[in-house]
Amino acid sequence: MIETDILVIGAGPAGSTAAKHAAIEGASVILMDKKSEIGSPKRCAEGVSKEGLTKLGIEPSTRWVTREASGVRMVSPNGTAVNLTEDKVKLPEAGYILERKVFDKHMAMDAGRAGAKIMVKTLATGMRREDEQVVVTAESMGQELEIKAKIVIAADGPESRVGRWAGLRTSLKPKDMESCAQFEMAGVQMEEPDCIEFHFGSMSPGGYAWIFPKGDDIANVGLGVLTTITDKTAYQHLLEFVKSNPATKNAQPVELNIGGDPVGGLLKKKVTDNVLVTGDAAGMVNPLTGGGIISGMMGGRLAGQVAAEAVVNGDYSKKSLKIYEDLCEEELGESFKKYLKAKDYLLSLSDEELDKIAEAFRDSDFETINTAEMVKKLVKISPKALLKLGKLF
Amino acid sequence: MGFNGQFFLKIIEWTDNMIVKEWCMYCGECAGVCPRNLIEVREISLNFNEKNCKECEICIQVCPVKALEKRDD
Repeated sequence: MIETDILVIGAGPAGSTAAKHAAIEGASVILMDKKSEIGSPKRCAEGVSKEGLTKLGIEPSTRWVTREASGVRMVSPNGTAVNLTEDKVKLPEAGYILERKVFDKHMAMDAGRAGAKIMVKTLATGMRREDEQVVVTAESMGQELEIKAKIVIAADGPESRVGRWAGLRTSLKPKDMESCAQFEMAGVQMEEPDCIEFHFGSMSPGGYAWIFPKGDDIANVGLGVLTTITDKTAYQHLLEFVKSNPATKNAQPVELNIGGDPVGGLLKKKVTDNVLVTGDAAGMVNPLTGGGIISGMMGGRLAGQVAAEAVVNGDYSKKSLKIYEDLCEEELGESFKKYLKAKDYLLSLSDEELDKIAEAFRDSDFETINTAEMVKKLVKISPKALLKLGKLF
Repeated sequence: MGFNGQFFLKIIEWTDNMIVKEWCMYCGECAGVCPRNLIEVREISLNFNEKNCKECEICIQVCPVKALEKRDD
């Protein structure tokens, strides 16, 4: 039996960050991932904010930043675009477009350099409690393993099972899980190659489509849908979007990614005795944008730090880990509540309403317009905004 | 075939209802929504614990590429 203070399951950005910070705080850490290559296949659009990386103390590297995006372009169903630039408005997920396959590996490398032991191609298959600790059973290249840990950090993604083995309800309802499909494409002709693009409307029911530039004519082109309100799959919607969009109709795919994105907000109960849940598994995803790299890493850092402190104190009880929930709430929960409201409003809009709003705002100078004026303008076109967004401002 | 034989056949039916199509990409969305935590996503395979499946079919519904199917018989 292998013994460790902390076992982190899942080496995405959240898990690696948790492992890194737990190791920095002096705990013995094992970081395991079921995949043979950390970071591959990617499952996301790869956008992060510059501010987020700074907050996490991570220096951008040319190894994993594919390009900088200075703005956001929002496009309504009839093609009307509203452009926002970062000097005018603070924008989540706008900043860098990453190469996730490289980025994720580098985050894991940082965990390794901090002292964490990394196991790849190792799948957790079960969990039991023993002497106030947790024994995780795992499989690695045909070998059965048992790892005894004081604390397990579950960073096993939207398909999380580890939290549920511990009795936490990490399973998601289909209405809280965006079903996503994405092509990485070459030959994309974007109107504003410095902007990340969002397309709203019925071509992506319950979500939106995106085009995130990765340099030259390369971009991630994808969308998320709620399968509760469409009969077509995310993949079918994607094919239609690519064909109809002027920027992508002549582009060619070199990669297909699919996956679920938990957009229902933070999981309420994120800890129990000996176990913390973090990242996508804990719903650490901006419910409006679906972006979860920075928020997952923020949560991961908190998980790693709280777990390491619990090890020092020799108390791995739910009570001792509870502080993690408060810290996550403070760091992420408050803003997520606002984003949830904004999402509800956005998804309530018909194609006609979206077109009307885009038309009204397309020529706005966001540098001079203040929030109150903006809301006034919005409510004039879309009265229900007052009801749905009222408390936001 | 006696009682035991029939029983045995029944179990085979129960545990072989889910068909995973060859274009499955193991993204795990099905596992995330399974209310009973019965789906294990490996790097290139899916395991269903069908014994405890109540056939809610949410996994089939959410798949981004329609790679899951229930054998109907």
